[in-house]
Formats: sequence, C-alpha cells, structure tokens
Amino acid sequence: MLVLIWTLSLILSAISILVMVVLVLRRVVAARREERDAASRRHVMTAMIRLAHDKDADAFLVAAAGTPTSVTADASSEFLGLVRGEEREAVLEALLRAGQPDFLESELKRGDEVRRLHAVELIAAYAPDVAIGPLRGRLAGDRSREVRIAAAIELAKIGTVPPLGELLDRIGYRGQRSRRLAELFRLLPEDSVAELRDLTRQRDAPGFLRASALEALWRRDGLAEPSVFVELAEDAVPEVAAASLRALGRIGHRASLPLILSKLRHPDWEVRMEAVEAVGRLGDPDAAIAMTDLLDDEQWTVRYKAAQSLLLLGPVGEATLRSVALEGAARKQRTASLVLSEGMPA
Amino acid sequence: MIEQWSATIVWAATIIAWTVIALGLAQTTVYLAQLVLAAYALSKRPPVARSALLWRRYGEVAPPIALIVPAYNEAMNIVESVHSMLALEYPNFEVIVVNDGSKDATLELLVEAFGLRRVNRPYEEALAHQPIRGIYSSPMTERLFVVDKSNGGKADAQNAGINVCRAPVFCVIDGDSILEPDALMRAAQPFIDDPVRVIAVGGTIRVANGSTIENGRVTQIHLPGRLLPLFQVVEYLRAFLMARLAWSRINTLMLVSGAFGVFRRAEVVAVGGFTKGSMGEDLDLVIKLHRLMIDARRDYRIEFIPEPVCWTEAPESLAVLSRQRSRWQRGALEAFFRYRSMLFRPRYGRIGFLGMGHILIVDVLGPIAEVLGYILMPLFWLLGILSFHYFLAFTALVFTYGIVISVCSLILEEAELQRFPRARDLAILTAAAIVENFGYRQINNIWRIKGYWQFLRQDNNWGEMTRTGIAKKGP
Repeated sequence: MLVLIWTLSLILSAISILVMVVLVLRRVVAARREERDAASRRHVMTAMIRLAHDKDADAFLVAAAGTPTSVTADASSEFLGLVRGEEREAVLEALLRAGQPDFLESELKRGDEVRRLHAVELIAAYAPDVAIGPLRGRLAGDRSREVRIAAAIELAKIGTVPPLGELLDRIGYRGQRSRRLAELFRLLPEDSVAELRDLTRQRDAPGFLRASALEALWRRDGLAEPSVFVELAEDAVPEVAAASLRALGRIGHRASLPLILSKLRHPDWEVRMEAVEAVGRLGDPDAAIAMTDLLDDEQWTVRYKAAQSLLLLGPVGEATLRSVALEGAARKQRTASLVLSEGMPA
Repeated sequence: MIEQWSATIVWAATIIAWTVIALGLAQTTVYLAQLVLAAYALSKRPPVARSALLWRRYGEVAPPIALIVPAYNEAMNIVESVHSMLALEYPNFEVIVVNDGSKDATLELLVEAFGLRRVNRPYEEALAHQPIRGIYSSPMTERLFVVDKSNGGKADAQNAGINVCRAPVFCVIDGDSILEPDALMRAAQPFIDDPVRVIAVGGTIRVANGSTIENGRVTQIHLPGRLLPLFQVVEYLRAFLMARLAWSRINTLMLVSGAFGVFRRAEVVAVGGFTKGSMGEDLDLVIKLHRLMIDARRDYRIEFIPEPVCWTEAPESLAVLSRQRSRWQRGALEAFFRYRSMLFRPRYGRIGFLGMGHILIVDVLGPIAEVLGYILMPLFWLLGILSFHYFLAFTALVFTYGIVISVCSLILEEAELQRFPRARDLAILTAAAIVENFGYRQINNIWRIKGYWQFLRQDNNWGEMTRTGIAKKGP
C-alpha cells in the first residue's frame, strides 16, 4: 500500500507535467494563429466599412475570399449590430454572395452549443427565405434547449413561429424557468393570443410559464382580456394570482376592484404586494382604509408598496399617510413618513 | 522489558503514521475527485458568449442588482473602484458603498469625487446593524448611494447595505476589488435561466498583482513579479477552478466568496444576513442558506460560474498573508463548530456528508495531521522506529500529489478557459505549481495552525490588511 501511494504519485505527477508541457506548446501554435486571424479580421472589417460606405460589393468579396470564413462571420456579427437601413442591406447582400449563410448552416449542424447559439442569431439577420429553414431545423431538432429557445425567439421576430403548443413541445417546458421564455411570449404574433390565453388556464403547466403568458397578454392588449385576469386572480398558484392582479392594475380594470381588495389579505406576500399596487393604480380613494393595514405588513416590500399606492390615490391617500405618520404604530409610522418624504413613485 | 517498551513505541508510531497517512489520503482523494468533477463541469458548462451578445440576449430580462461595497479605511482605492463599478455593463444596477466608520478619509474622498449630498432614503430594517449616520447620493449619477455608519465590521456593513438596497438580487464585493465590465451580466445569467431555484452565484477571483490597471480596469494581464503573489495565483486557480466548480456541479458549494458573490436578497434576509463578528462571514452565510432551504424542503441552487471575474490585490508580504490565512482558518473552524449539528446528519444529505465532511477533513483535521506528519514522520524514520516506506508515502501525499493537484488545476484552466494571455505565463505558472509545494505549502500550514490557536483562544482580531493600492498599479 505504502509503495503504491508513492509510485502512483510519481506516475500521476509525471503525466500531469507532460500534459501541461503539451498545452504550453499548443498555446504557442494557437497564439500564432490568433495573430493571423486578428490581421484577417482587421482586413475584412475595413472592407466591410468600405462596403457600407461605397456599396462596392466586389471589393468586399475579394477581401472575404482571402479571409477564413469563420473570421468573416465573427466580424460581420459585430458590424451588423452597428449599421442600419440601406447600409445593413448592402452588407447582408454581400455576405450572402460570400457564402456566409452556408457557413452558418454548417456551424448550426456541427458547431458546439456556443457556436450554434451564435449562428442562430446571425442567420436570423438574413432575409426570411434564407433564415427560416435553418431556424426551424434548430427549433425542431437541436439538442440544446438554449439553442431551441434562441431559434424560437428569432422565428417570432420574423413572425413565423409554429402554434404555441407545438412550440413549447419542441422547446420542452418541463422544468423550464428561463426568463427568455417570457421574452418569447411577448414576441409571439397576434394570432397566438388565443393559445396564450389557453396556456394561462392550464392548471398542470408550471406557474412560471402561466405567469409569463399572463404578462405577455396584458402587455400585448390587456384591455381585451380582463375576464382571464379576473378568473386567474383567484388561482391557487400565487405566482399566477400575482401576475393576474398586476395585469388588472396595469390595464386599469376598475370593475375588479372588490376582487383586488379581497386579495389584500392573501397569505402570499407577492399576491398582497401586487394587489395593493393594483389598488393604487386604480385610484379608488375608498380603498385607503383597507390599504392602511398593509403599512404594518410583515414584508417590507408590501409595506413600502402600500405607502406608495396610498400616495397615488391623491389627497385622500396623502392625508391618510400623514395621519399615520403622526399617530400610527412605529412600523406604520416609519413607512408612511419615509414614503411621504420620498414623494410620488416614478 | 525494553523489548516490550520498544514494541509499544513501534505500535504507537505505526498507528500515528497510519492516521496521518489516512488523513492525507482522504484529502488527496477529495482533491482528485474535485478535479474530475470540475473537468466534467467545465465540459458541460453553459454557453459562454461575448459580452455584447450577452447584453443583446439578456439585457431585457436581467434582474436589477445592487452592488454592496463595504469600505473600511479604503481611501487609497475607493474613488477609482467606485468609478469602475459605475462603468459596469449591466442594464439595471445601483452601487451602495457602506462606509463602516472608516478612520481615514474614505467618506470625504467619496463626497468630494461624486459631489455627494445627504438624502432621506427609505429602507427596510430587516437586519440588525450598527446605526446608520447618513445616506448620501450623487447628483452626477442616480446609481450611486453611500451609507455612512458606525463601525461594526464587514458583516455588519454588508447587512446595512442589504437593508438599504432595493434590488431583489445583490452582489457583495470588496472595496479594493475590480469587477470586469461584463462580470455582473455573466453572474446574473443563472438568475435569468433559473430565477426560481438559484439563490446565490459565485464568480472567480483573480490576482491582479502585476497586471496593468488603468481607469479602474485591468487592461493588460500579467503575472505578479514577486513569488508570494505568484503562488497565490496557483492557489486561487485551485480554489476556484477546481474546488468551487466541482462542488457547484453537485450543488454542494459551501463558499461563495465575500469578495465577489451574488445573492438573492429574500433568502439572505430570511437567514438573518451575514453573521456579525464572524471571521468567515461568507462561508457562514452559505451554510445558513443551505440549512434554510433544506429545512424548508425547497428546491434550490447555489452556483459557481467561472466566467465572471473579479480582480483583487493579493498580499505581497509574509506578515499580511499570514494574518489573512490565520483569519481564513479561524473562519472555517468557527463555521464548522457553529453548524456542527449538520455534520453527517441524514436530514442535510449531501451538505451534511460531503460539504461539512469536506470542511472536517480539509480544514479541521487536515492542517494538524500535516504539521504532525512534518515533525513525526522523519523522526520515526531517523530513529529507526518505522521503515522508509512510511516516510516516502507521507512525502508523496504532501509533495508529489500536491504537484499533481496544482498542475491539473492549471491544465483545466488552459484546456477550457485560457485566460492567461501568453505561453510564457503558462510555463511560469507550471513552475510555480511545482515549487509552491516545497516551502510555501508548509508555511501556509503553520499559519493555519496559528489560526487554530487563535480560534481556541477566542481571539477575534481581524488584523490589519495593508493595501498597496491596486487601482494605481502596473506591471
């Protein structure tokens, strides 16, 4: 045993040092390649700037021909973010002629996750007839969920995504909590509203997903959907109830005021916070007394939001805050006086 | 009679030798397992994109973050540090500098540099701390707040910052550290990808000594010219790239560095914030977070990701380094004994067995066994009590396996991250990874024993951390 410990340690240390020596040598070679690539990048970048200015695609194609395709792709990703309108169109046209989409397609098939993700975002810059096919391919079959979401987002920006159910099946939403999914919902085309509405009502779907769908609905055209928000404000999942109350407040749905007021005593603090904020936005002075109780809530954010919402009610709310600041219990008093000193929420 | 005594001495020496070797073996096995896990984690890590792409991808959905900067006698660096923090690339953040009763001109310099004015900012008194004397904001930027409070220590200052901040996520960073411009964006990624489960994220701390720093940014990376910080570069690689990445992979990360860690505010408030007076307040907080989430049976993640980088100044003198290492050791011992009820308790699963077990082997028993080995193993061999094989086995565990672990950490860095710009740097670091095992490691263990002694004597002095001024340094 003792000899084994010693022998094994010698073997392992010799191997580790040897590997490190190989890596140092690899780095020497890589450094030379990087220098070469950096020079090529400068060259192709200059050609791209000239192209945007002079619209001389042929000169750019000559420069691109002498540059590794991956370097051109990398430079184009940066450059396209800087140009707009005709200049952007001219650059994209020239990149198309230089065979960039073919390279990006091969990256989408053979690259690692980072390169595939990058290629998805790059290929989406081209005309729909070039971009849609590869993007749909990634959405349908990429092994990385990040890449599938990115492809879906780009397809949504172009305005050609599959129906929501199919989209979520392809992305795979079990255990999914990415905020990027909320972004995707916001980008979905007009005809997806009914599907989004259905998703909000799917009790077996994750609360995060349903809340994201609710947010997308009110941001899109909340006034068209009050019945959904009213119904789901009663949902058992706090995340969903909170998102519905937020929606009701943001769209200014005064008819739901009694419902919102009933949520001021909800056991979940996020629901209470959204409810009190919604009441403030709806601006009903009669609600001031009910909101005053929340100035003593266990959660600071609820207390603070309640005070801000009271201020939003106008003279009645401000008078309520002043009287609490002068006479209320310590915690209520502090919250009221601090918000009074800070003024109206932005 | 003499023969009987002699047999007893040999028997006792054999037991001691095997205990020392067994503990060394346990430590080495833990390190080797960490290496394998870290290599696996690196190969499976999520995509790393350039910061411009990150902004385009996540800018819309990134959560607001408060940067909490406790500052005690940081006059030398603080203005430049705050400038660099305000220039971070992140869509929605605020910087809260907490002046913890500094005796130097930290507050005055900030007031002068940013035209600070006293304001009335409402805040939640969720955590206890020394009284706040005033809160200041700057007309030059709405992102900056300075909290001036009575001295109460680092944890106390951090707690005041947590109270004052309004973001759902906060990042703690030392006043003398420099975040890379995209560090917040990268550290926020787990909070975007998995906002429900992720409660804390740690990033990499790198040694800035020797690098060129201009306008609060590391513009050229160089290795330190002096030996002591150079050894610390290897140590930091081992600690972050190997240990933390490995533990993070199996959701058993026990330490998110207080020099750069991002936390969800609600959970930190729920555990009472940073423990005041603790020598290892960062380790203490993470253990409390684990305990809270496991007790509440909540699914959660505490992650380490290697890409966000925070640069820090490593001690360049033996005296300062000695104080730092003794303090770290006291911090580990304090946390271990404070939460000892979690050790090997089935309720705490991987945290009780692997996390706390790791602290037991590496921080509680490790230094004692190693220092005992340095004294007894050569003695037993020279006195002819034990054979040369025992001595060789101990030597292998301390020196040769030490080389394996350090060089392999460097291999991981080069194979996956390649953050050292030149091949020459790698060659120098390889040499340092070998040489540090002969002398530096032993001195470190002596400092740890000193920390042990201070812990037993309940010596809670932090010791002065002499700064040379990272923000103005060049190679």
